[in-house]
Amino acid sequence: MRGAPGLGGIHPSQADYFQSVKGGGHGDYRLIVLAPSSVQELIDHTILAFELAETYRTPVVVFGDAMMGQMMEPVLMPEAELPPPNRPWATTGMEGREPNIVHTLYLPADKLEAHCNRLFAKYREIEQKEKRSIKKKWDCRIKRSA
Amino acid sequence: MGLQNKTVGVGSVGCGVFSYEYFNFDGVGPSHGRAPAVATGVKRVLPDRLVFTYQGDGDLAAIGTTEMVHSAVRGENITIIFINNTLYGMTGGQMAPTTLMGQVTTTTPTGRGRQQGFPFRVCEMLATAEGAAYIARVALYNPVQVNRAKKAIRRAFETQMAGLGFSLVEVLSACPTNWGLTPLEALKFVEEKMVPVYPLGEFKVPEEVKS
Repeated sequence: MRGAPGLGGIHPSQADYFQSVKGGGHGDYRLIVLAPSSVQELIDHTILAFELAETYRTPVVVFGDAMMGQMMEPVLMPEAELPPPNRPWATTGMEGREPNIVHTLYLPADKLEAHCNRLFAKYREIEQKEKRSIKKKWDCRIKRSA
Repeated sequence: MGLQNKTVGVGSVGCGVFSYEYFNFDGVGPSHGRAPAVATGVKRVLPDRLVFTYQGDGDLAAIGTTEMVHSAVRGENITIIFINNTLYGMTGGQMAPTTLMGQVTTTTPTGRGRQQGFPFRVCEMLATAEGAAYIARVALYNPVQVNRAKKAIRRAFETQMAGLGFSLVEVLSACPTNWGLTPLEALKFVEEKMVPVYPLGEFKVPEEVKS
C-alpha cells in the first residue's frame, strides 16, 4: 500500500486496503487476501497462498506492505510439500476428453447470475473455513522440516 | 497437422470473443488485449502444445500492443493470428490504429485525417524483432489468396512446433457490415484499398520451414 490516491507516493501507508480486499474489475468477485505480520509469515503465507489458490481455484493476494518490505528477521525456511495439483479444468489439450474452456463471459443474464452465485457460494465456504487472525495462532497445514 | 488434441487456442475481445465456441479444442478467454500474455503462460507450462491467439486489430494493435510487441521481443514460441479489418467491428465500426487514411468510420465521420494518426503496420514493425521467427501478411479476397493464407498459417504453426520462436500471420479480412458494402464490394475493398497500404508477403521465414 502506498500513500495518496492516483499514482501513489513511495511512503508506506495503511489508510485502507480496499484495492486488495474489495477486488477490482467489474466486481462480483472476492479475493483471498493474506496479510503477513512478520518476515516468517511472509514466507509461510506465500506457500499457503499457492495451496489455497489450488484448493479453491481463486486468486490469492499476499498483502505485504512497505513496512514488511523493509524488515529483517531470522526465519525458518519451510520445505513445502504441496500435493500434486488436480486441475481437470485446465486447458492442456483435449487428448482423451471433451474440450476445456476457461473464460468469464456469460452474455445471458441468467447464466451470468448462476455463475456469480456459484462463486459467492465458494467465497462463503472460504470465509467459514479459512479465516485466520493474529489472535488465534495461525495454523499452517503445510508439513515442515524441523 | 494432427495437432487438434494438443492445441490450446486463446481468444480475444471483439468479434472473436466467442472463438472458443467455434473451435473443437481447448480454449481460454482472456481480458482485452492480453491474449499473448496468456498464451505465453500456457506455452511455457506446456511447451509441446500448439498455442495460438486469435486477435482482431482493436485487440492486438491498440489495447494489446504491449503484449503483442513484447511477446515478439522475448521470442515467445507462440503463434498470433491477427485479423485486420481496419476497425473495431463488434462495437459498431469505430476507428482503430489500422484504419486507412480517409476511411469513414463511426468515430471518423469525415474520414481518418492527420489528427487521428496513420495506419499501423504490425508485420513490418515485428519483423525487426530478433525473437520473431515467422511473420507474414495474407488477405482473403479470392481463392488463391485464401490458399496462401492457409499455407502461411501452416508455416507459422510449423515454426512454433519446431521451437523456432514467435510467429504471426496478419490476415486482411472484410467487414461488409461496418464498411457498409456488399460482401463482393468488401472483397474488392480489401484488394484495392487495403493491400496497397498493407503489402502482402512473408516478411520473415526460418530456413527450416521453407520447403
